[in-house]
Formats: sequence, structure tokens, C-alpha cells
Amino acid sequence: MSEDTRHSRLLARARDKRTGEWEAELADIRAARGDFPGLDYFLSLHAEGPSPEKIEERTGMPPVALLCLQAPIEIFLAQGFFPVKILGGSHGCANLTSPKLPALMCPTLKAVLGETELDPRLPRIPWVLPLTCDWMVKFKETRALFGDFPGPVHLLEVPRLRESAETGDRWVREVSKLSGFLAKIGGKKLNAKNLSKAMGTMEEARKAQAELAVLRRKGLVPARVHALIQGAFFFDRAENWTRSVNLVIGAVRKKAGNGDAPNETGRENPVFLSGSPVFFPNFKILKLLETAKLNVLADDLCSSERLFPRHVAVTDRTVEGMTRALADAYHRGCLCPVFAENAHRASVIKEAQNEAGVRGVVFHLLKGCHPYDLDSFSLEEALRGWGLKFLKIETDYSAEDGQNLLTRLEAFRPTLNVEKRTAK
Amino acid sequence: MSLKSLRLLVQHASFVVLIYGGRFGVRLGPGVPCFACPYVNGCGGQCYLMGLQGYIGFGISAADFWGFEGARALFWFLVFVVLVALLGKLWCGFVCPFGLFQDWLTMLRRRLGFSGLKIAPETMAKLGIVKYVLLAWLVLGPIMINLGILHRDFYLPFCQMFCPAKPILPVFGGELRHFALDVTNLVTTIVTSTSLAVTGGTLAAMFARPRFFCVFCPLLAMIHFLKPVTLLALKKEPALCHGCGTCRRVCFMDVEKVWLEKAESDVQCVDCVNCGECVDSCSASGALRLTFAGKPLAKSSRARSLGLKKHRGAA
Ligand code: SF4
Ligand code: SF4
Repeated sequence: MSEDTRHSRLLARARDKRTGEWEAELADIRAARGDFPGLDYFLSLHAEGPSPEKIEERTGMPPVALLCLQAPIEIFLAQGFFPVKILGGSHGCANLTSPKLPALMCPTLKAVLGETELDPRLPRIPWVLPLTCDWMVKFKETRALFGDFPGPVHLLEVPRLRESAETGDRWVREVSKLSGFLAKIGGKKLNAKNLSKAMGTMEEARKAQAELAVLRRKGLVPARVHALIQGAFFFDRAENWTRSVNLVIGAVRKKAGNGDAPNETGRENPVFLSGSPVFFPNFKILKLLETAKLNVLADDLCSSERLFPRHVAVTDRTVEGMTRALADAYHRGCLCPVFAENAHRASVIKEAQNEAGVRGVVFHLLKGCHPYDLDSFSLEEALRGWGLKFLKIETDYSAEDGQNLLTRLEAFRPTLNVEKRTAK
Repeated sequence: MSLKSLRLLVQHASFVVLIYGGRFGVRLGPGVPCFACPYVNGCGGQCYLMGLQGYIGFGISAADFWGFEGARALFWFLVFVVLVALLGKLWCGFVCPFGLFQDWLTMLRRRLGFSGLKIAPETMAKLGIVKYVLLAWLVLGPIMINLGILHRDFYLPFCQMFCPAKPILPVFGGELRHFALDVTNLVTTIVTSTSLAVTGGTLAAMFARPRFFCVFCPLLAMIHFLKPVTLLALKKEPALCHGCGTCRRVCFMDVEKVWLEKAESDVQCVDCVNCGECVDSCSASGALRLTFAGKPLAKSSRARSLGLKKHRGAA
């Protein structure tokens, strides 16, 4: 069999596997949560898959592939581009690229590389690669193993230090360079009007996200539903996403007001989900948590509640002022473990303990994700002082360890209530 | 209501009372801990700095220092202390008419689309020492006058030479005469030309950088000296801070401590004017608080930062 035929067969098999994974996960969510109010929009967006053409058609903006969330979304929108976070959650895609890559490499990036193999249109669109973890730093070269990016690629250097004026200024320059790149490929420059409009659009999205978080803290939004809603952000115009989230919020409030809880287990066994991101269709950890009756009331995943900064405070509406505001919010406010001196890492967990009463933290670690692995130790130390239970789950995209993980999660559940019982 | 809106409301109301109050019978006396400039025709209260310079000048020379005049000086000092103890730097952030004037200049600049002047925090920290020099000058100047070391025309040495509010605020009372050069003698020429130079330079700088003068304000330093008895304070819960630096960026006084503090809850530092911008903008729920006698008056939250009105729940 020729090399080409073998490769085509591998591609066909991976494509089938990926399609199967997407369909199976969607069917499973539909079966379990189909009655969740307002979910159809988010399900149908995922069902269409990550096609650049469809995204362009829906948003009216040419897509730019984006990995990691340090690049301000507002800059893309202002300059007429739609940033698409390529969902790296397919096991089939990760397997496709595995033979050419280190065994212990981040599975998300393996899967993203796999997506670029499966869909030849993907590498042709412009890419913005924030240089965050080592895997991201080497991403462009790693992709070259499968063929160079035919389209334009921008490497966005992310300073690892955040508490000095120098790195702050350097990062603002990097964000301006990103804007220069977008102007070069799209011909539209950043100005106070388009940037202000994009910031307004995103501020509305943030409000919707904050309101959704309130419902989540009350145990009204199941883990996979929440993930599906967040993931859909990169499929449609921000305005449409916001409107749909607001519809969900209204419907859930109404349902809860009628005493008809949209999540049967509610606030029982409340936990915080921390660690590596969770991308569709690999909702394995979320499903296991649901099965183990552990309710995720908050998280700090960059695929979920950290999808975009909570707030961008603007005092100065000049382009420079707004760019600085964005740069700060996307950099200094980011809790990603790739940064040095990440003392604030646990702050959102403390907040969730205060406000939602979470009793434990499930730390999701994807094998090969070294920054999160390192981070987990100091985090566990910090949490112990606050009386929070901690469980680290190290996994990959395969289904084999499912039963084992479920057993561990189920064993974790009673420990959450130990103090509560003693107190009684 | 956000602290920002409340502040704007209080600032404008205070401006009317302190600048025009005298015209409708308001007389708050000389113990007001902000730039309620007595040079304004028909003002409603008087900045304590003028009283202080006057009392020091009087106290050294008068035979009856321990009599009625001394008691009066002590009374107004106590009024000043009580007012500071109650409201702390809210006098600067919410009440001071000259603070509002500076805020107007900043609003105007932003409306015109100018980005403004960036001054490195280290430079500002160094320049901040000037406020103590001015404080020393307004205490020692009158003493030197009474000891005959300084000419009597240096009377009220801070107001006459270095206070930009003295020529500027009377304009709102319809008077421009404080912009005139007095060439009666060499001393008046030095005094008034210094005043004009300081005012011109400060005016330009205040347009370019928010609250530029506050960094040099000797009254700010005095209020801060009373911190141990002040009931109002800015507090931080470091464990809840995300480190996003928003508090640093929105702070027109360039306070870094609120952002960088990782252990202490006391973040009330000398340059903080308790404007509350940081509390309004911080999205970490409970990380920042404006407190009165330890009780929170306002707390940062995700909802507050986003201006969500009907926020049912905590996040
Ligand atoms: S704005 Fe709040 S969360 Fe951000 S650095 Fe300041 S105190 Fe911390
Ligand atoms: S630290 Fe906060 S309250 Fe103090 S001056 Fe700055 S923004 Fe205002």
C-alpha cells in the first residue's frame, strides 16, 4: 500500500471517529439534558462542526484561528475578524497526529493538529498563536511536521511576568502588533469607534456570563450544559451568543421560580473544577462528575468561566487607553499557570467557597499538561488551609480509565461532607 | 448605585455648597479638610490650611496665645480632626471642589480624545515628597514671618505662592484678580509671579494627568497623618484578589499598593483619596472594601464591576 493511500485511510478513519465522538456526545447530552431550557441553539451550533466557511457565513466575518485566550477578542472583532478557538477535544484527532509527536504531549494540541490535518481549509485561514506554554511556543514548528501553515501566522509573545510596568508596556506593544497583523491581512485598522463598539459587545457577553454564573452557583446549571454554552461562543456572533445565554437565564429563573429545578441534584456535593481545559467533544470528566453526583458550581477552566476576562474597566476611550485596558485584563487578570509568580491562582476558588459554599476541588489534569501539573501542588497546599478537599484526576482523552476515575470521584464525594456531619 | 455616580453627585453638591454656600447663609468655618478656598467670594466654608497658617502666625506673636485666640485655634483644630476622623480621605475623593475641578479637566481631555501624560510611578513617588515640603513650608513660613526672618508680605505663604486653587477657584465666584501680578515691592512680585507660574504649570499638568495636584497636596499629607484615628479606610482581602491590576489602572492617583499587596488588609496609603474607583471596577467579589469603623460601606463584586443592577445571587 502506498504512503498516500495509507495516509488517506488514516484520515478517513480519524474523520469517522471524530464525527462519531461529536455525534455521540451531542446525543448523550440531548438524552440527559434535552429538557434544559434554551439548549437547542447551543446543541445545533455544535452539531454543525467547526467549519470555517459556516462560521464566516454565520458571523459575516472571516475567521482567524486562535489558541489560548490572551489575545483580546475585542481587537479581532473591531478589525472585522471572528476569532475561532479550534476545539481540541477529539480523541480521534489526537490519535491521528500522535505517531509523529511526543507521547506525553498536551492532547488538546495534538487534537488541534489533528483537526488541521482533517480539514485542509483550517491551516489556510490566518492563525494567532499566543506563546504561553512550551507546547504553544513550539506549535508552529510542530505543525511543520505535517506541512507548513499555508496562510498567515502571527506569534503573540506573552510576557511571563505581570507585575512590572516594563512587561505591562511590552505586552501592550505586543497587542498593538497583533492589531497591526490583523490590519495587514484584513485592511481594517483599529480606531476608537470600532474598538469601543467591540468592547461594548463583549461587555454584554460578560454580563450574560456573570448572570449564568449566578445560576450555576445555585446549582441550576449542570456541568455539561455549562460547558456546551461556553464552547458555543466561538461558533456565532457574540451578540447572538449573548442573546441566547440571556434566554437560557430567563428560562432557568422562571423554571426555578416555579419550583421546577432544571438540575435534579442541585447544590448537593458542591465542588469547584480546576485545571486543564475541557473541550468538546471530550466532556469525559464532566460526565463522570455528573455520574458521581458531584455538582460543579464554579470552575477556573480557560475553556469555561475564564473564557474571557470578567471585566474590562475603561477610563480612557482613546485607542491607546482601550488597548491598554484590554491588554491588562487579558494578561494580568489571567490565572493560567504558565505565568511566573501566580500567587492569585486560588483566588477564584476562595471566592466560590465564600459565595457558593463549594467544599472541594476536583483538579482535572490532562497528561502532558506540565504547567497545570506543577501548579496542582501549590494549589493543594493553599486549599488545605481553607478546609477544602482536593482530588487530582490525571487523565487523557481515552475512555479506558473511566470506571477507575468514577470510583475515585465517588470515594471523594463523602469526604466533602465529613466536617458537616461532625458539626451536626 | 455605583460609587462613581454617587461620587459625581456628592462632588457637584459639595462644589455648590463650598463655593457658593456663603451666598445663601452656609458658613462652615475654617476647619474644612479640603480646598474650600476662602478667596472665593461668598464661599460656604474655609480650607483648614488657611486657618492653620493664620493660627500659627498669630500664635507665635500674640501675648494671649493661651487665651481666647489660642482656644479658638484649638477648637478649629479639633473640628478638623473630628471631620477627618469621620470621613478620612472622602474629603479628597468626594468633597474637595478643587478635586472636582481637576476631574472636569480630565473629562474634557478625554472628551477631546487626548490620551494624556504617562508619568512613571517611581517618578510620581519621588515627586510626592513635595507635599511634605509644602506642608513644612506652610508651618515654618508663618513662624519665620513672626520671627522676622521672612518679610510680612509672605503672609499665608502656601496660599499666596503655591496653591493653584487660590487663583483658579475664585473664577467660579466671578473674580479674576488673583491672576494679577502684584509689583508693589520685590516680595509681592516674587510671591505673585511664583503663584502664576505654579498655577500655569499645574493647570497644564492637571489637564494632561488626572488629579495631578493631589500628589503634591499638603492637606492630603495632613489627613494621612491622622490615619490612626480615621474611621474610613480602604481594605483588601488578598486571598480573593485575581491580580488583574484593574485597580492600579483605574486609579488616577497611580496607587500600586492595592494591586500588589499580598498579605495585609490595610491598603489605605497616603496617595489614595478614597474615590472608590478601584472598588467599583474590581471584579473579585469581596477583594476590596471601603469601610467605616470596620463595617463595609461598599464591596467589590463581579456584579458591581459590570454594573449589573438586579444581581440576584453572589457571583
Ligand atoms: S482589581 Fe481587584 S482583583 Fe484586580 S488586582 Fe485589584 S484588588 Fe485584585
Ligand atoms: S486606590 Fe482606589 S480609592 Fe484610592 S485613589 Fe486609587 S482608585 Fe481611588
